[in-house]
Amino acid sequence: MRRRGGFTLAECMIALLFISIGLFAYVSLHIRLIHSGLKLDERETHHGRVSKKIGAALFGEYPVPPQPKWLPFDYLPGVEITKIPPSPSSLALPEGVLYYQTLEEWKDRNGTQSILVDTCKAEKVFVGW
Amino acid sequence: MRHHRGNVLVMAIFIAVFLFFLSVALVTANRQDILLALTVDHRLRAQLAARAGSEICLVKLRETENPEQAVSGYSEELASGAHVKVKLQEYDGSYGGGGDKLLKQLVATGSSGFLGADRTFVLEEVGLGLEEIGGLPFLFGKDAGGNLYALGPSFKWTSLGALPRPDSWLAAHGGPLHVMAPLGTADKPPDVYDFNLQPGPAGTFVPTIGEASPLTTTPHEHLLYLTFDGQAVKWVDIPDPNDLKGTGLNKPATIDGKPDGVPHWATVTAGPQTVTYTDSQYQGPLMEWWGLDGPGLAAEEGTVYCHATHYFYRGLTFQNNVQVVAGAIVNNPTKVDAKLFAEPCVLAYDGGKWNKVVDLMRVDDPLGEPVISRGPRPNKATLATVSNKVYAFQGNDPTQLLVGGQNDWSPSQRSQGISQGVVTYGGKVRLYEAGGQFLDQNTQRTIVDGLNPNLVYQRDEVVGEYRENGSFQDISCEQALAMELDLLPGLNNGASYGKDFYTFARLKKSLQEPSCKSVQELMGGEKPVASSNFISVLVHYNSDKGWQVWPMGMQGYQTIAADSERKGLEVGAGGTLDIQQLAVGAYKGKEDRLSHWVPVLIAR
Repeated sequence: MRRRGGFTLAECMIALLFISIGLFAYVSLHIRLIHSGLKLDERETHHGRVSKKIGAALFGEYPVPPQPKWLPFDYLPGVEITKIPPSPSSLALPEGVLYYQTLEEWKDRNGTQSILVDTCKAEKVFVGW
Repeated sequence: MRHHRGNVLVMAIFIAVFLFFLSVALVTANRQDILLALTVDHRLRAQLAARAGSEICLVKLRETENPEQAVSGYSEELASGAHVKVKLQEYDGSYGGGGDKLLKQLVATGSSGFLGADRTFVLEEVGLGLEEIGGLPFLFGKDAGGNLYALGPSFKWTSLGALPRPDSWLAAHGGPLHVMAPLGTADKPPDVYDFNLQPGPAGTFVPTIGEASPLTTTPHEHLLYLTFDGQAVKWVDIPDPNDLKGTGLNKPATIDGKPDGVPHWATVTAGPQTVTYTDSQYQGPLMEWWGLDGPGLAAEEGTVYCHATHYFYRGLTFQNNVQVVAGAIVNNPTKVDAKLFAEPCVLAYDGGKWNKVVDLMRVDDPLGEPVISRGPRPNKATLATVSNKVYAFQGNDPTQLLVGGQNDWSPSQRSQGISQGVVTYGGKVRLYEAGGQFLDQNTQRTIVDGLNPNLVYQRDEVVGEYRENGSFQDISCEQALAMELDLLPGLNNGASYGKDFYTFARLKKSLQEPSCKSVQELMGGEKPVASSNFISVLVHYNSDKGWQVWPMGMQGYQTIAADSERKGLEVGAGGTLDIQQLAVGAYKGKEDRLSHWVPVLIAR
């Protein structure tokens, strides 16, 4: 009797099983990555706000240095000032130095997320006498 | 015929493996995204930490006498978790202008996670008291209203109230500050009691003591010096020279050589005429006296020098000499009229007594003529002193500087043009001169002997360039900025002690016409035109370290507005200094010796 070409049912089932496992794993991973990407995107948005806030705090009150070539790289004129003194107790600051801290908090499915940055600024850097 | 069993299985395995590697790639990309987000966060924290460290240490530098100690080993951890370390070192010339001894480099290194960031301040040290003097240094100046200001070692101007005499010179050179007291406070000149001749019989005279008359009616000056204990100031009187503590001649009128002498009367007869007359020898008072004149004042350590007038009053000398000639009584008296001699001199007060430094009149024979120098006379509005020698310009020749000898003034230096003043520095007396260069119709002036304020341009590169923004400068077409200094001449606007010299200068800021399309033109505006304007500034010179502009270096004045030429100089103590007066004193005080560290360049 001549044997007919083709696949056995068992072969097809096993192949289908492998493909299904791979496909479902990939789809699951992809969904996870989309979520992760969204979180990163959101974090980047908050990072931008943090940068802007701290920039405003640092440079909003700065005496305008003489020439653009003198300006520090991240000079942000005309931004709202958000000073947050006093400094943490662990940081010993001499008189005339202001402490700035910006805390950005938001919530997502995983709970509360935050970005904390802080720095200091001398009140009179470009002022004489 | 071949069988194809297993092909589907192989294909399935292949697809699964493919999906596996695809997943790995996606996971890796996601991890990179996360890493990038963290990098951005860490970099911001590190940069902010570096900024915090650099600015904290800048303030610390301005608060302590020892800059190395102030920031040595400074490190801090911020609430964000970032960490910063700071070091202070000699400026290495990385941004140009190397070798400048006034510059230091403050490098703050912030780190957060796996990232670090540097922030560098190139700092110029601006401060008093870089040289040791007899006490803590104080730079004195006054405003147009006669208020006194002191810039102490803490580098802050303090108002010391009104000067006793608003138009007084300020004289100090490493010692206390000396000024003139209000007019009318000097001791009155002594009264003179000399003989008056009353006519007697037969041509004789009867000398009688007249009423008191002042030696001179010329007003003279009184000096004060300033005491300062770090908190309170007090003006203390300096006794007037008068008779130089008894060393001057002071003999009252005498009759026959006796102050309390009684006239001797004699009688002579000629025919019927008998005449009684006094044949005593009358000598009026002999008196030397010195009165201070000013306005020129100079000081060296604790000694103050002042122009003065030396007076010598030679009273009447008289004696009747009666004879009978051909039967008549004839009197041929011996008579030398009273005379007041007055010659300029310079006196010095060393804290104990006044001494003659230059005196053009010498009284060798009180009854004869005093020896008076016939040489040049000084201009009393000029005076300087170096190593106990005094200098002044010739009264009738403003180009000729004179040096004082014991009894005369002799030529010293000659100014090339009309001299505008004299200053002392480095053990030499120097002239403000017309340098032959003209700047907007004002003569540019320099101090002779190599003190050139334009040496400040040795630091042009540092002052004028921000390297990281080089590309910005390349594409921008801003007006090129040039700044020049020339000294403001004045009679008393230079002060020095040790290697430090302070004076006023005129800072000229010039904006050139842009050489290409300016930003304004590109925005539809008009092309900027060349312009220049001026401002008065205080400059400091140290022979080891060079010139600098106070209080912020030249860069602090780059934004001065147009038509901002000012006669005064704002000092930040509510006052504006008159640019004609400066003096450097020294006091034992309680102030710390601080410097104002000025960022001339910020880099990261």
